[in-house]
Amino acid sequence: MVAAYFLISALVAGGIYFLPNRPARLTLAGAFLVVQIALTIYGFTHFDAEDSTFFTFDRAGVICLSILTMLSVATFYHSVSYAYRHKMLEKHESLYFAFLVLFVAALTGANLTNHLGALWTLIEASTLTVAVLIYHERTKQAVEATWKYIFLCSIGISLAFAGILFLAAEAANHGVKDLKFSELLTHASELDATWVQIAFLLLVTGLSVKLGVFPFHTASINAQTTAPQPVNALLSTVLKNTSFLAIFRIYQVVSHTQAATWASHLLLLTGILSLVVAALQLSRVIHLSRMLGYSGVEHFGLILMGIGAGGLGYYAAFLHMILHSFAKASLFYQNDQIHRHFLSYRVNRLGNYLRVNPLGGLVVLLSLLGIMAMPPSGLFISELLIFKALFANGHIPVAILALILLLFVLYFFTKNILHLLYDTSDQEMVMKEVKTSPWESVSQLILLGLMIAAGFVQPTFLVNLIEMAVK
Amino acid sequence: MATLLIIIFAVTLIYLAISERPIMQNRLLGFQGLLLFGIAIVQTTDFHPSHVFFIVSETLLVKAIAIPFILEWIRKHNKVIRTKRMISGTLSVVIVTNILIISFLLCSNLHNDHLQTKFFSVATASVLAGIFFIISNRNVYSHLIGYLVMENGIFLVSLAVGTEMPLLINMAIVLDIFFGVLVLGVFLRRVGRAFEGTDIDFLSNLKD
Repeated sequence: MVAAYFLISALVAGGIYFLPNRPARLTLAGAFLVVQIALTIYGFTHFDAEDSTFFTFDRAGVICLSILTMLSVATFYHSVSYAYRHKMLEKHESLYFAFLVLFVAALTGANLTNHLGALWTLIEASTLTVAVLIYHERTKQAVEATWKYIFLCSIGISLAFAGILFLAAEAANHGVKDLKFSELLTHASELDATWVQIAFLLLVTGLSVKLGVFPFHTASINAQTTAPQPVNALLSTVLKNTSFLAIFRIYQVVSHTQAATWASHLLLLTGILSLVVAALQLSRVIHLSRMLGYSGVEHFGLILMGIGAGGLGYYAAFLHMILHSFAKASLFYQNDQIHRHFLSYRVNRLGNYLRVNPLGGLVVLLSLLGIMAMPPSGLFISELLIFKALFANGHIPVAILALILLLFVLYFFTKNILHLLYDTSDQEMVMKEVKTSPWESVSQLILLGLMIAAGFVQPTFLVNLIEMAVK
Repeated sequence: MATLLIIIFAVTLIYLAISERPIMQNRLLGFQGLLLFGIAIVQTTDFHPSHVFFIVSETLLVKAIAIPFILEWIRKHNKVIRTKRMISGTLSVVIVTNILIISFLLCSNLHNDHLQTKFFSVATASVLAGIFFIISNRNVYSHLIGYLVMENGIFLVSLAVGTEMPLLINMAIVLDIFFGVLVLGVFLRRVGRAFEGTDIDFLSNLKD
């Protein structure tokens, strides 16, 4: 099934790239989405089924796959409108959609793979495919951002590969011939702590570039500054979810070794340092996309802390990842409309958005509540559970420090968003009369509706799904 | 034989530290690819055609031929004659020599039945020397060379720990690395065209 999916994706991408006719290209892109949805439904109906040697439809993978599919549909929809409004050249449009298909396919594979080597390969493939999308606007800034992104990702991924080699070497000492997660998990308790620590340190450091957390967070921030907003919606959510899933799968192995406590402390440290970076940078950032990027640093820092806390933290981290994806993607889709009105992303050139575009303003307001984890946001519940896990498992100083840092994040982020929504005093502001269709905000309202609904009630199937995934 | 090749590999790291001309850095990188081919062939006990094909494609075709060829093409197009360094050549040699000594001392204390210490110490030194090369140079072309020195070090790590992956995954890894360098090369070319130079000072527009 997965092998067939890859084959279809490659053919669709090739077709989109070479077809000279726009409607045919869009039809192919639509056909790809149908295949993507079909694969997701297949995943939901075939839990734990092995497929094409290197893939398994395990629950954690299927959760990430379903978010990827939902946001892919929304991203393709917004990309069509983006291409139309920016009067994209034929060759640029075909390149854009072809690489969007390949990017989604690489992430799908990375979510479903059960093999450490295949995981590395697919994450690297996602870097190469997304580079073309980051570069799409072909400005000087886009060249700079793309170069920095690929270069840092290459270094990070190389370090992660060294980590895989260390883990593989130690596993080979105990008769593990295949780097499948299930195989590694079976022999985890026999692995030597020192080798596992070195491997985990390299893997977390290397994958931090894709996860967008300390120490390699800058690559994704720069990429989000110049990438088209529909692409940003994927960069800031599903790409990071995939990297998180990779770290989580490795941590599941490591948590059964003697290095378990050390590894949990490493995740807590990475998480808290990411919060420090986010709080400091949000105090001075003035570019809206970069601000949202640093908000991602904060949220994935919290998610790592949830995993590091253990117990209830696992569930909370997954719930947080799902709901963050909905809220953050909504903001990035809306960002495009904001830019159309103000022709800028600089916060000091934005204002009075709630009056300029009431429906868009409502999306921003709801997203603010969502991202800042204020009730009725579902993220309020997930953050509460993360802190509950931290306190319950004795990480009280870390929890208190995180709460203080979150106050700073809350203040700076809210200040800027309220400026965007209500401020009328700015002299630098240029406002363009543009008509925005209410349909452009529908995807965001649906996603935000789901995020808020999770604040009131979490369906039993979702709770069971996450609980089984983190077991 | 393998020991001799690994010592020559360590010497190339020192030579890279003093080299300021990209053409020489590029040749040294190609030479490292040849050495890795020699080391991998001497080390292997599995002469199955698929395994030999993998070794030849990763080292000889990709590291020794294709990558230096791409780098030379980029260098000519971007007209990179010399690269600026932040640290003098003499100090660079001292630092890389120290990296080699420290790596050897650290790695000789590691105990693992599957680990070949002499490979592992030079591999670690190569990764660290690659990072040092990136930090100490002010040109993105040299940064790419530094990254590839790191990559060569990681290939040596894989020989040192004797990790074997399924052939399909191995080939995917080789392709990923090759396309990674190709994409980096294409964007390096675009950096040169957009900024009329490849000095890192040009790449400082994206900040808060």
